[in-house]
Amino acid sequence: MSARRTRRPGGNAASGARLPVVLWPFAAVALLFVVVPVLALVQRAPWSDLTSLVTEPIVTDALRLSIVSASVATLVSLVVGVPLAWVLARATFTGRSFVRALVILPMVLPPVVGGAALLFAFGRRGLVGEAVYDQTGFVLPFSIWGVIAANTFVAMPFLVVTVESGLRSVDARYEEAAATLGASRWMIFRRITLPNVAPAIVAGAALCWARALGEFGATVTFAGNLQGRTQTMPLAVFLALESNREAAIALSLVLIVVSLAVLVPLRDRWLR
Amino acid sequence: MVVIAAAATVALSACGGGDADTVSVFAAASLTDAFDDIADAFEEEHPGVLVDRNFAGSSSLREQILQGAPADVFASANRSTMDDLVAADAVGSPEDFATNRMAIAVPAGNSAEVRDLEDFARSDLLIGLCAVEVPCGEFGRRVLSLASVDAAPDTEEPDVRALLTKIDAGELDAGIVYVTDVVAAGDGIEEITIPDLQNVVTSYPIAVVGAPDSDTAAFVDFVRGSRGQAILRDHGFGAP
Amino acid sequence: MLDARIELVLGALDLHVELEVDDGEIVALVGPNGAGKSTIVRALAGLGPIDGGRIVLDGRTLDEPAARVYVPTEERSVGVVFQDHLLFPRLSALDNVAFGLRARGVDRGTARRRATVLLQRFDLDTHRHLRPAALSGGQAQRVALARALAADPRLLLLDEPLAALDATTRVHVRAELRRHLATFEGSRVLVTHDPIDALVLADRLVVVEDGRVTQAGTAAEVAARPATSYVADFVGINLLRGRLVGATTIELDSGGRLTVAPRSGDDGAAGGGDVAIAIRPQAIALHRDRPAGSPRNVWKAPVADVEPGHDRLRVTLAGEVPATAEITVAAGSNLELRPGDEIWASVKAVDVAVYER
Repeated sequence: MSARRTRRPGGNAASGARLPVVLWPFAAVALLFVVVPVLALVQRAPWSDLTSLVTEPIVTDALRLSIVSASVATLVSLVVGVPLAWVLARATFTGRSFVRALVILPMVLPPVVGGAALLFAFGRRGLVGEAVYDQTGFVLPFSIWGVIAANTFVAMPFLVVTVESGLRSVDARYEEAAATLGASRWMIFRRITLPNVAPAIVAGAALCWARALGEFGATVTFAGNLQGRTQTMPLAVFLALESNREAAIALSLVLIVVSLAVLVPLRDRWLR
Repeated sequence: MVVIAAAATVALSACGGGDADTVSVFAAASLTDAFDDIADAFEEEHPGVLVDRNFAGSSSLREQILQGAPADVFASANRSTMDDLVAADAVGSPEDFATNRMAIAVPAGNSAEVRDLEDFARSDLLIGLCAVEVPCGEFGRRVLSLASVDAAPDTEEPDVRALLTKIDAGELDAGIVYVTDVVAAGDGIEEITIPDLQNVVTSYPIAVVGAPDSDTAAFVDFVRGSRGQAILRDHGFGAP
Repeated sequence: MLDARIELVLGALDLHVELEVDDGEIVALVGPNGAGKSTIVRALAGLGPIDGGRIVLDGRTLDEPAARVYVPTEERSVGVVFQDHLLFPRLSALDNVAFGLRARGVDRGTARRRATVLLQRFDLDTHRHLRPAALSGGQAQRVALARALAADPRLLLLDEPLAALDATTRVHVRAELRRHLATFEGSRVLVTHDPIDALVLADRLVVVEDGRVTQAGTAAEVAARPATSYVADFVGINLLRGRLVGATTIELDSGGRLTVAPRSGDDGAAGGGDVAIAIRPQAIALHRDRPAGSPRNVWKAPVADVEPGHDRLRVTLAGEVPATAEITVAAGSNLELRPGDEIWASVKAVDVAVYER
């Protein structure tokens, strides 16, 4: 403590540490397990037709829809998921562990079942959706809102879980210190809590976005599939598999490239 | 070609090697209920013989067989899939054993008052079809064009199951599916018959994979025989 | 003026404590680990609930469960200096100090100006743009104190403010803290388990053991008749006064001279000042013959009294360095000490702690 540190705490101290040699082969196995299938996909790709395939309207429509819906779903998850994570991490109430289990339910539920559940809840004959439909004529399924809803349902837990664990690992005493200085709860949340968990929020948002981008089961079950309206990349890939395997591979590669293009800089910037 | 030869070898060894008392049946997903009943009846008539059942989309099954999956019998929901396997020398000569036709499926109660294919052009309804990439989507479109209806579907479902789920939940007002799907769907779905003139009839072919043995041949005969046909009729299938 | 009666049960701790602190008074809350000191601080700050009792600050009731009164932390006028300072890591020293003003609605410019003035008072104006990680322990401690004082609290709580510092830094930060605490007019409560901190910084001691106040009073009062063995150990430290006559030499008011270790750091007692020194009884060694080894301070002292303790002997020495030495019973029987004997005493220079008075 007496040494004057100019280095940021938690900075690069760890990356210079010597790793136990025994970890390397295991890490390599893990990496190869992910990389080899991707390489196999690349190797099967129809490189000569790739440009014409990926500029077809069905692809560009699906890509646009995927990016927009995954991004909006991430935004929605941030707005309501971060407060939920905060409640789970900081509030004490009976049945909290039960609520925590509920939150991660969409992660264990087969997405198709999740989609059906959404249908029974928010469809126009659904638990909640019926009243909305009767009052306003608004139907959530078969529209981009349905896609966003399905994406949010499946992907939000990734954000909530990440941010909650982030909140648990930051020192809550800083919040107490701020309170002794007269800061209101809202100011503490804004000025202390949020900046402290920013890395976890970014990590959670990235996970959430990636999961939403790849979402298939809940989307198709809840929102349906129509080019330009509800057909996202994974749906297009699935249907292409039925008719044209090469196109399906090309679409998958596009999905991979787009997600890497977004996630790699994000990780570099925020997740040292 | 090398792959196919290897696949044929695997298939051969699978039915030749000690598994004489098991018939492995690969059947289209739309046959699930009917072939379960048929297999049970066949096992009843042939004690000691077991029927292994593998249900999936016809094209998936085609791929599995080409990759060497141990099938003895393949029952397809359309001829083109079967023709691919014939061309690859993976199956013996196919024979039709059933037909299916399309029908309009509406939620029980038909609150949108759908009467015929003309209603598929109504913009106030939520209409679903199967995606054009899968057979029920292809046939659904053919039915609509025979009726000269310009339909604007709100969703093109990747499979019949997904389409039926949404009709059953009342989220779609109407869709076009196989007659047999409506029979299988239960109380949540009502059928509106499509007239023969506008309808499409599809044939279901069956074939032996690799070299036939007596049990395999007996199963194919059973499907085409009176008892098998009666079961198929119960499930909504037509005569070949 | 703080008037508190705190009753609460927290795990194994059953706390039942009364505490009164006048304006301008510094009370040291001392006691062994787990006695409930930090819990009291948390209760006073509103960070932890109390089950019963009442906390009144300047006539305003902050907490009284029976009357369903609870003023939340942010609305109490209570400043806290935490053990490890808890400076906000992403804010500069200046913004840390300005935080409390901003929280109370002062606009950014005014808050920064006032924070700058405060930092100047704490000799920190050259460091005001540094983040906490770039500050030394002593600087961080001063920023924490400035931050707590910036919002003008009526009660200042210091929870082990020196515990996070190493021994060398501690000596001069303690002197600084004493100087800065003197500028604050409200009530001050200092939690510590270190006798030197308590004796040097506080006007009055309140000893808490196992959730109860076992003794209270000025250092002299408590030392005169320690109520428990913990208190006896705690106040048994030798506190002498003197004057610094060189970089490392102190002339005691009682006449003796002691050599102290050269001190690092930019503040603390400079040459010529009045100082207090503290020597732990265990640090004083006794010998029949003049010792040869390393101790810089060796003197001949008459034995005034020999008193058996739990497992040690307390030997009171008179003369130019009046002090109490604590030695093992075995060492005592070798020395065959009797009141009136002349004996050699020695203490290492590094064991003599010096504070500005």
